[in-house]
Amino acid sequence: MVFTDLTFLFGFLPVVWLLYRLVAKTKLANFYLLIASLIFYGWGGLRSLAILILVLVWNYLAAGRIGLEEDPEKRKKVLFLAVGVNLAVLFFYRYLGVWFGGLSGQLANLPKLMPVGLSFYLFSCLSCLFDVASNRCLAPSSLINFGVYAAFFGRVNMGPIGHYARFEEQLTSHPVTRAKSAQGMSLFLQGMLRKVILADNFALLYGTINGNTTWLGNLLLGFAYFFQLYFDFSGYSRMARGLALLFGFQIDPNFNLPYTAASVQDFWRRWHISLTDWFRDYVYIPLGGNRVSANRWRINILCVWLLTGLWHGAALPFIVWGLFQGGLILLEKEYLNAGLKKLPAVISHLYLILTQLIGWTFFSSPSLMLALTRIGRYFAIGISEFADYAATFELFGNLGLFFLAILLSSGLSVLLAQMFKKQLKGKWQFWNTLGWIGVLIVCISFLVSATARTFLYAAF
Amino acid sequence: MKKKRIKENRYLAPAMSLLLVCTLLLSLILPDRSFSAAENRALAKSATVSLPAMEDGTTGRELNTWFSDQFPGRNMFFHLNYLIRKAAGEREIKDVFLGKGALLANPEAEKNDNISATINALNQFSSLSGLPCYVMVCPSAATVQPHKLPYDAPVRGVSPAFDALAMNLNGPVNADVRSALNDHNQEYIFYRTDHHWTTKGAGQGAKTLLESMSIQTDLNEFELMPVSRDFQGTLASKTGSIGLNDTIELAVSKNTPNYLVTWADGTKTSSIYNKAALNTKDQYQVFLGANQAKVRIDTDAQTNRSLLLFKDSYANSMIQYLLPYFSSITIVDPRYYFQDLDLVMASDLFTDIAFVYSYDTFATISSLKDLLNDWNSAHQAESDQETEG
Repeated sequence: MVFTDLTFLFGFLPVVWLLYRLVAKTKLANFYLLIASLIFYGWGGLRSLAILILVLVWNYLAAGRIGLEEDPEKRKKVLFLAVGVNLAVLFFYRYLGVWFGGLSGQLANLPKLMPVGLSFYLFSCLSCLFDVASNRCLAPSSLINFGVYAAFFGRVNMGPIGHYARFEEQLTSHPVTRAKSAQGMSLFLQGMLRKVILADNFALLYGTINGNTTWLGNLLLGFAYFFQLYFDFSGYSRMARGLALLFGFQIDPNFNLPYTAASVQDFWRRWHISLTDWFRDYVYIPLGGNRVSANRWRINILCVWLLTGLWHGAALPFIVWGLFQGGLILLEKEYLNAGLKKLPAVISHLYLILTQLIGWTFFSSPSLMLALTRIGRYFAIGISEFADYAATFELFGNLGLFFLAILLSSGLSVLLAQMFKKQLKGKWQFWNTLGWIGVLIVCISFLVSATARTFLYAAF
Repeated sequence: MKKKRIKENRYLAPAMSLLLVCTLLLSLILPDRSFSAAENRALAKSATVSLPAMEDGTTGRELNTWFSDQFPGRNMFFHLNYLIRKAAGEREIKDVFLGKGALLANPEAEKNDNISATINALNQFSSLSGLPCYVMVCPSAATVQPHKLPYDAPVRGVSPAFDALAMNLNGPVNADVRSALNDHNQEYIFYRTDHHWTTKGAGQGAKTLLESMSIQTDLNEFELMPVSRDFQGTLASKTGSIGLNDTIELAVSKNTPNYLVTWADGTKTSSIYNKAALNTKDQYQVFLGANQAKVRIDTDAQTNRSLLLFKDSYANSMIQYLLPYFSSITIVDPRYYFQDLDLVMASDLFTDIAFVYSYDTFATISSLKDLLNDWNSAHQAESDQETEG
């Protein structure tokens, strides 16, 4: 089940949310949420559910064992074993088939069998193991609470990745308030708008223009993915945060207007923040961070970005994408930062857009050769012509979509919303409610018309 | 973790929960429907509930489909989506152009070199059967009526396919209908909401086909009688369009002979029209009913010409124009005919064999090629044996 299934929107969500009101103030609250989350996840298949439960139990027991072990060496060994098992599961489903699929058809089929959200909930579990091992927090005392942390239906499929030490406090107390419900519902609807109206329509554009070899067509293809990925994942993240709030949890934002960044470093402080934080806390800093020699530091950066690329996928374009991001960050830190700060904001912003357009082209291309061909076409290398009918037709037919995308990704929509709030004063709540009902109706019309797509980041 | 101060709209959550719950209740109370007229398709009514289906997620997926198909107000949302897309400036939905007062399907891309393979099969069939063969491929509205397309619409080119027909048909006569349709392209020759040609368009097709057989016909002898003015065809179902309707007409001539139709199931009627279809969603089925493997029409026309017609649904509205010129017309739709073609070939003394197809079917569906190739293989072997003997 995904958040944009009508079954979820008009079946699972209202039932689970309203019944939760009955148990919210009892000791059964988390137990209820865990059962609901397991039903949500099991909807996609009992086989995947069994793997999720095994992973939860293993990590809960391992964290408890790490917490009990006083000898640092033994603690480290238990940690290695626990982490190793998690990584082995990830390797089995994610990488084995891609790298060694040529040896057997069954191996090649493994990635298709990967449980949804595996890399997200495994990383949440690893966070708990690392936090317990480094004494940032105590081992989880309750399997139910740990299950809610790692498998809460709001984020089991696509994160945001949990940071156990930061979230632990909320597991014991997450009261539902009217204000949280209001903000949660608003965030959920904002996310749905981004996913259903923007991301899915950019996906349609991407599918239509795919294969166009003109400069304009190729550029449209690049920007279609550029916006699809952003609105798909940021939409999901908002929906996840909104759902969490409906059940009393507060999850930090996973995106903060990343396309308004003025450098690649700034971009990664705003894009998939939970993953960037995870790699910083559990890979970069343990490797020594920047408190090492210059060469070692460079290796640390590249290592983190190689792993970030690998986390997204086993294929070569993902690895190249990761190293491309790491290379740009090194370049900025060593040479470009001073210059970027002096440049007019428009130029540094264009630099960011261009680098990320190229980055996502690696990301979206099935092969490295195709990625390089498409990147070449941005610079008029290897184009068939400047534009053709198909490209101009799609451009003019999607101007409204691009306008809305720029409005939302630039943050102008927030300013507009604030302006309306001031103008409408006492009537704001009424018009705001009516507006969101309108958005919901529009989203349903897209969902019913079967133009909805599965979430893009679920594949990672 | 530091808790953030939250200040939000306090009406929103109660209003939304009320909306979600009411919709859920409506969904549970309203009876399930088995067919959507707006989308022209069957709706899911249940899900497979078994351990294997639950294991691999089939049950969940089917429940999602069922819930979505039975969603309250589904048709309204479907049409609303069309209006929103149109208002947003979209000019194409699911490969259908939202043209000037009409919906126009983009011609499909050829599949698996189907055109040249079918031409080869036709050439061989013509040679082995020794009978005069006529091939007519009908372009669609997007090709014939470009003035109805949105500006700059990237219509897939079909000229290479028609050029291939003109150049490579060796034996069968190419009954090229393009110029006849182009001459009338300002008229109502294609439905606005359906992928078929109208009765008027089919008349141009019939005239071209008959002339290629050296049969002169005067379309003025046929009177067009409207039988429906609220037809919404396949393109309306695909896009969810509203406000566009079509008129279905029958072509009636005082020269139409008496005839008897033998349908695929063996039943006989005295009309090629299925008027009951006018009360259903797919009113185009008024012409020869639903797609059938084989239909035979025996007429009392004073002629010794007998036609074997291989076709798709495009030809259905054309048959009414052919009745006066043949003593029998045997109609085979290879998409549904899976028996030995010799059974048909031996059923009459055919004087003419025609192949009438829409461009989309000709370019993408291999059933005609497959049927002919099976027959060709068997008869080529016989021919080879005779030569050796």
